[in-house]
Amino acid sequence: MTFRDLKLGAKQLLGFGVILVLMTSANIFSINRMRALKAEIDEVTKNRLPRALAIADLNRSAFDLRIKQLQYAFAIDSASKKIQAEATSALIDSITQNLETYKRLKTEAEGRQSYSKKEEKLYDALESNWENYQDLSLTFLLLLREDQMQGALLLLNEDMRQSFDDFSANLVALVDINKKDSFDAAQRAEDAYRSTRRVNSTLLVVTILVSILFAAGLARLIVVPVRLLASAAETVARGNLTVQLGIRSKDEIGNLARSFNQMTTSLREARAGMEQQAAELQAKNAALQRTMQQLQQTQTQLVQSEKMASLGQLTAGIAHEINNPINFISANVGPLKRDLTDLFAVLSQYDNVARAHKLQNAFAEVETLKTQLDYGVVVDEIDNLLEGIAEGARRTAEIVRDLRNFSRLDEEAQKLASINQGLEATLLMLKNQLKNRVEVIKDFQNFPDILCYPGKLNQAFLNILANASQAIDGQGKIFIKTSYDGDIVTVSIKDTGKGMNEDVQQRIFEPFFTTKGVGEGTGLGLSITYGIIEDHDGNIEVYSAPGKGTEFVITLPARR
Amino acid sequence: MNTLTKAVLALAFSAASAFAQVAVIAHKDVPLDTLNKTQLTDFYSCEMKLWDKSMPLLVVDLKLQSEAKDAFYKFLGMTASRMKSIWLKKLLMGEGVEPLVVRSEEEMLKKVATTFGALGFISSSKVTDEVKTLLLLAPTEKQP
Repeated sequence: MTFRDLKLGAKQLLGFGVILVLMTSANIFSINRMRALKAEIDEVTKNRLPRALAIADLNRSAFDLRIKQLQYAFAIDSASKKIQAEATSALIDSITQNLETYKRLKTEAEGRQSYSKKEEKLYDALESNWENYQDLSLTFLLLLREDQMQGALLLLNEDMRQSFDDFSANLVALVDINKKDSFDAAQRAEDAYRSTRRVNSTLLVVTILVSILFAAGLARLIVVPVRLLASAAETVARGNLTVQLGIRSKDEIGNLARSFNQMTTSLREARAGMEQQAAELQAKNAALQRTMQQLQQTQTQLVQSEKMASLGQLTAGIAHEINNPINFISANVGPLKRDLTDLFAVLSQYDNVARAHKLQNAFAEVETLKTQLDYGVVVDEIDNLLEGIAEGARRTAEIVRDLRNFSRLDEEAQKLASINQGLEATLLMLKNQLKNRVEVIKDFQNFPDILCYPGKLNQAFLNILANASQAIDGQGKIFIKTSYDGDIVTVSIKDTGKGMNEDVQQRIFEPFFTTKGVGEGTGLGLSITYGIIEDHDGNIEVYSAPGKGTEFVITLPARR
Repeated sequence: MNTLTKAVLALAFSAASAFAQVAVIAHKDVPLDTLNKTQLTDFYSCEMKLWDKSMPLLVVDLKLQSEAKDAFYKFLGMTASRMKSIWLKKLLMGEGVEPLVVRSEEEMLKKVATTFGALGFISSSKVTDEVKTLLLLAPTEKQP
C-alpha cells in the first residue's frame, strides 16, 4: 500500500498528521528544553546561591571568630569574658550551621550530579580545616583556663592563624568555584535558551514549508489529474477515442480515470463495430453501383453498337451503291477523253481540208461560230473538265473506301487489323473538323497487325480524337503516337486543349457524363470507348490538368 | 569508573565496615553495664559530667581519622567536627570537661583501662578484658 493508493481523504489526513506530529514534536522539544532550563535555574536559585551565601557567611563568621577569640583572650573581667564567650559560641554555631547547610545543599547537589569533584575536595579540606581549628581552639581555651596566656596567644598567632589561613584559602577557593559554577550554569541556561530558540524556529520554518508543500502537493494531486481528465474528455468530444489516461493512483481520481478509460474503450469498440458495418455497407453499395454502372454501360453499349451496326450497314450499303456509279465515271473518263481527242482530230482535219480547197468562204459560218464559242478555249476547257471528273471520281472512291473501312462495326469475329491504318481512317473521318485548325502530328511505329475488332477500335479512337479536337479552342495540336514491345501495343493521344480537373477526370468514363451543353453531346463517347478497350482486355488511362491538355494512353494486348 | 566497578567497590566497603564493628568501652569500675544511644550522645556531648555522684565522666576521643572513629560518629549521627564545636562551646561557657584526646586505638584502650571514669571506643576486635564493653555498635551501612 503506497501513498498513491490512499483515498484523497486519507492523503489529506496523513498530510495533516505529519504537520501535527511536526508541531507536536516542536512543542514537546520546547517544553523539555524549558524544563531543563527551569531545572538549571532552580539549581542556581535553590542550591548554588544558598551554597554561595553559606560560604560567604562562613567566611565572615570565621573572620569574626578570630577577632572574638582574641577579644576573649584579652577580656579583663569575667563579665566581659562571658560576653565574648557567648559571641564566640554564637559564631561557632553560625559556622556549624552554615557548614551543615552547605553540606545539605551539597548532598542534594550530589544527587543531581551538579557537584564537582573539585568542590568536594575543597569542602573535605574545609571540614578538616575547621576540625583542626576547633581542636586548636580547644587547646587554646585549655591554655587560657590554666592561665597560660603566653602560650595561648602564641597558639592563636601561630598554629591557629595558620589553620585559619588554610580554612580561609579553601573558603576563597570554594567561593571562586561557586562563582564559576554559577556563571557556567547561567551560561548553560543561556545556551539552552539559544539552542531551543534556534531549533524551535527551524522546526517552525520546516512545519510551514511542509504545510505549504503538502497543500501544493494535495492541490497538484487533485488539479493535475482533473486537468488531464478535462483535456482527455475534450479529445474524446472531438472524436478521438484512443485516449487513455495514465493515472494509476487508487484514490477517487484514479477510479474516475479508470472509468473514463473503460468508457473510451467501450466507445471505441462500439464505433469500430459501427465503422465496420458502415464499411461493409459502403462496399455493398459500391458493388451495387458498379453492377448498375456495368448494366448501364452494357445497355449503352448495346444501344450504341446497335446504332453503330445500323450506321455501319447503312454506310456499307451507301458505299457499295456509290461505288458502282463512281466506277462508271472513273472507268468512262479515260475512253471519253480518248474519244474526244479523236473527235478533235476529226474537227482539225475538217479545218485542214477547208484551207486546202479554199473553202473558207463556204465554212465562213462555221468559223464565225468557232470565234463566237471561243473554240480554242473550249477544247482546253474540256481537257480540264475531264481532269476534274477524274479527280472527283478518284476522291469519291477514296472516301468510299474509308467509309467501308470505318463501318466494319458489324464484324462479329475478331480479325487481324492494323492499328495504324485504323487511326489513319479515323483521322480521315475527322478531316473536316481538324482542317486548318488542328495540326495532327503522327509518330507511328511499324508493327504487325493484331487480332482485334477493328471497327470498334476505330470508334474508340474516333471518340477520343473528336473530344481532343473539341477541347482545342482555335489553333492547336494533336500528337498521336503508337508503340509496340512485342506483347503490348500502346496508343497515346495527346492534345493541347484546355484539359480537365480531377473531378471531371474521375467521371469521364461514366455513361451520360458530359461537359458539353445540352444537345451537344450524349455523354456516351468515352464510356463506349472504355467498354471497347475492356472488350480487348486492354486498359485506358487519362492524364490531364486544366490548361495543360489531355493525354489518353491505351494499352492493348498484341494477340495474333 | 563505570557503574559495575562502583557497585563492586561499594560491596567491598560494606563488607569491610561489617568487620569494623565498634565497641563502646569504659573503665572497669563504671557503674553501668550497658548504654543506649541517647545516653551515649549525652555522655559524649558533655551533657552528663558524672557517671554517678562519685564518679566523674571523662570522654576520650581519637585525634586521627580512623574507621572506628567514623563508624562511632556515624552512629551518633553527627560529625567529629560538630562534636568538637559542642565541646568548644561547653568549654567556652565553662560548662564542660574537655575530652581526652588520644592518637591511636591502642592508646585509647590503655587510657580507658587506666583512667577512672573514662569512656571511649575502639574496634571490637581490639577489646580486652581490661575494659568494660558497654555497647556494641551495629555494623553501619556505608552511607550512600
